[in-house]
Amino acid sequence: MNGSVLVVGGGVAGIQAALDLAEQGIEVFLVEKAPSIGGKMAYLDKTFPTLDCASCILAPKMAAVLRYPNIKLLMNSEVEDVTGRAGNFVVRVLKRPTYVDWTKCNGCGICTQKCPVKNVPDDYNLGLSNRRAIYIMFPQAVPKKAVIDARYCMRLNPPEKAKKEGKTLCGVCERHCPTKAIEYEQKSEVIELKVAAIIVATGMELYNAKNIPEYGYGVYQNLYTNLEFERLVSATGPSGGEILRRSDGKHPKKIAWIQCVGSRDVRFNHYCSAYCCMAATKQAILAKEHLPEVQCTVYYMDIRAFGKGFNEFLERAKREFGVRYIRGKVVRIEELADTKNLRVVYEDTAESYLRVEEYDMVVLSVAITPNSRLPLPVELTSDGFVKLKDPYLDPVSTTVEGIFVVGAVAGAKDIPDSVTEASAAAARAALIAKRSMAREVRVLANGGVLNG
Amino acid sequence: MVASSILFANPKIAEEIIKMGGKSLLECYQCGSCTAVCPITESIDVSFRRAIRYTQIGLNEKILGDITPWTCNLHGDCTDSCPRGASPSEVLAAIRRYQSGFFDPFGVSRWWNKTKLFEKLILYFVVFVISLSFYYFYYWNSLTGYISTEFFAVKDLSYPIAFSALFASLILFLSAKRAYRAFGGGKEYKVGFLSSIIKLTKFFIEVEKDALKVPEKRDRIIEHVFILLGLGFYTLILLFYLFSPSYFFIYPYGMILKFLGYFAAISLLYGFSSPLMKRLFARQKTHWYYKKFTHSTDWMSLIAFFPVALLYLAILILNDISYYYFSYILYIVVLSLIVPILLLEVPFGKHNHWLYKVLAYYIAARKGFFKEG
Ligand SMILES: Cc1cc2nc3c(=O)[nH]c(=O)nc-3n(C[C@H](O)[C@H](O)[C@H](O)COP(=O)(O)OP(=O)(O)OC[C@H]3O[C@@H](n4cnc5c(N)ncnc54)[C@H](O)[C@@H]3O)c2cc1C
Ligand code: SF4
Ligand code: SF4
Ligand code: SF4
Repeated sequence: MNGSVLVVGGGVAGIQAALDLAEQGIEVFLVEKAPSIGGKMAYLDKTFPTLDCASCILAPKMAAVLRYPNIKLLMNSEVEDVTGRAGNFVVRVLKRPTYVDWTKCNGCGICTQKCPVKNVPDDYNLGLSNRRAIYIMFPQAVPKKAVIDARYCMRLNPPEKAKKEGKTLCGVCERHCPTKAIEYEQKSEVIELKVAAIIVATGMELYNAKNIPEYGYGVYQNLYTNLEFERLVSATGPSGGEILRRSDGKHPKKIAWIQCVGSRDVRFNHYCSAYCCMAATKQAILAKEHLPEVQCTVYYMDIRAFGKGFNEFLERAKREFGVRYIRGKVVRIEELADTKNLRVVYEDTAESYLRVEEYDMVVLSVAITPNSRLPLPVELTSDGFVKLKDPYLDPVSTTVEGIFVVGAVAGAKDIPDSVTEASAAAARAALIAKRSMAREVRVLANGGVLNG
Repeated sequence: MVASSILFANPKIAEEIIKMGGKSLLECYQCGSCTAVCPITESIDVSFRRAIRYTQIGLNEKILGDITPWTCNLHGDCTDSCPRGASPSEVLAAIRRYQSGFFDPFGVSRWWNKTKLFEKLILYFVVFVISLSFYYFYYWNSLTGYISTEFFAVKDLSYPIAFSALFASLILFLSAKRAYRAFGGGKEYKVGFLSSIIKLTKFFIEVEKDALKVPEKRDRIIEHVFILLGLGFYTLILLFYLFSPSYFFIYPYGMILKFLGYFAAISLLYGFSSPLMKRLFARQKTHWYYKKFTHSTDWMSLIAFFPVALLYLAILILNDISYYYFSYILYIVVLSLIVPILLLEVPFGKHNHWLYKVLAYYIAARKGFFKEG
């Protein structure tokens, strides 16, 4: 049957598109690179502008994906190449091994407690905590299945000495798994799909703040990215929701947010990342909720509070929570050797003077960059986002017919906009899928002759 | 009074600043990075961002008396860190041109800062030809007789220069007076004369010492030092000629003068040819200053001085190898080249900026703009 749709990327946008399509009875292949769907939203604690808990919104949607038999999840997978055209794409998907038979794994997590390799940086907490070589991505992961990280596993990647002697090491997880799901021999496989339409929803990554040496990200201990801070305040985060400094494990008294880090800057990215003004406002409020005594300051050039309810949210942060907003771009951060406090240097543009102020924690509101380097025939704009066919009247179509694009890979945006686009693209993709299916039925009825 | 608190915004001023070389003026989105990275703002309370803002919206009253643009020492850190890819120091240079246009009471400077290079060159050439013919008609016949001997008649020859210098000084004096008033000189002084001079000296040593550590910045500072030394010595020699006791001057008058002459010539040649070459053959490694600063007044000042430096060295050499005739002709050519410098470039062009800069810094120090400690 060639009336199916491929969704690439299982972030909130990809999930929404898949659900909308599945609801209409269309077969959906959802290809996700990570071992769980959810995307960046799964990393968030609360969301602006309502301060709703992110996982309370996302978890039911993620769970719904599993309930639809016509959504075929291809986890740990990436698209390798695409041929054909609208109504008739042939897609090759590379499925990487998880070394666990997911039809058997029941997500009990015993293996993740028994594995002796304990010092693997936890990607989900952005390296702020450790996990084992075998792990379940996060507690609410969908699907909730274990994966072995082959780079760290002693069995799959033994130390040089053992490799030479031809010894097989460990095997602890295999011994403890109650369902005998561990499969060390698993190999990657290529799956060929035939689909009528494709929706690209590969989202974004944070820009590498180390490219901005003036800020010293990666060098200074109490300097965080906003995504790291999001994990820090999250109950599922490295410190169970306590905001603690990396250097001494103490609560901070003064936190600063620095806006437009890598955004709106000709040296890095020209575009506005669209989410960070509101995200910083949200995080300042969250910090205040966690630590009522903390003083929060946001350094900005312009506050972009354009969405529904955004400006009210901003006003609330100022009035109700006493968040300080100072207009001025921070040009430099310096670490004090003894206290590991951070000094930010900026011009207070309201007073027109150079200022230096000390904080015990600084959060960088980092730009996003699109995950747009894909083996798909879509065109990109000069800033790396996927090019839209018509930004006004056809804002979810790429320049290739039958391939749609939604979410942050199409342009920096927040969750509500990503979801809106996802539903729009699902409707457009469904049209193509149904037309192509109808044609197939017609061809079959005609004894296999086209244009009969 | 209500009336005096009203500021009039004139968007035409932004256009004028752009014409005067502040090409990236409207790029600026007022982030304040330029103020914050600048090594000067560590010591003085000024905001370059605000100075740029005044011109963007065209608050003439605020612009004209602003000392901020004059505190810029062209280190260029701002240009490296401007998120808009603008060149704040270039914009500040343009604001200085705009201001100096108003300081000059006859408005020539205003016109000079807006004309194209070839127009300046034509005017310059005309003055050069006039002064050359003046020399030819008034001095040639009376002086050629001495050429065969070792006499070198310079006292007389120096008079047109002296007159031009007098003219330049007069204009500069009038302009400086207006600048002093615009900067608010004499009012609201908080710091004593002596302690502000000490503060200024300390500040300049501090801030340029750091710049000397960066190779590209070092070149620029060394060039400026050589230009200053060269001009200083050259003026000294001219003054000596002018007030020398004998009507004719026997060369070499003394080893000291000869040494001074060579030193001035070589300093000037280096000081003017190095930036000229870098501008002409701007390479990747050269300081942004040479790549970006291509305003016609910058070119003009270099083009005006470069041949003087070159020919002056030639004169000294020709004299040393006894080609008196040629050295004599060259000397007259050099003098004719100096006349337009003194009549045009110094009072109306770029070189009066030295004066305003000193004034602005002095007033800033007296008014207590320098931070303590
Ligand atoms: C710190 C921070 C705080 C934020 N706070 C808020 C907030 O409070 N409110 C709000 O509305 N928005 C917020 N946002 C923005 C929000 O995260 C994004 O708008 C949203 O996640 C975009 O969803 P998406 O599905 O387009 O992309 P993503 O969430 O990035 O999902 C993309 C998915 O595609 C997968 N993928 C990537 N490449 C491939 C590939 N080649 N093949 C297969 N799969 C691939 C990824 O693994 C991922 O699962 C915040 C963002 C950050 C960084
Ligand atoms: S084999 Fe050992 S090291 Fe590898 S994942 Fe299993 S328990 Fe961990
Ligand atoms: S949303 Fe705000 S912080 Fe983010 S890039 Fe845009 S202006 Fe800067
Ligand atoms: S750094 Fe650039 S954008 Fe920022 S205030 Fe200065 S000139 Fe304007």
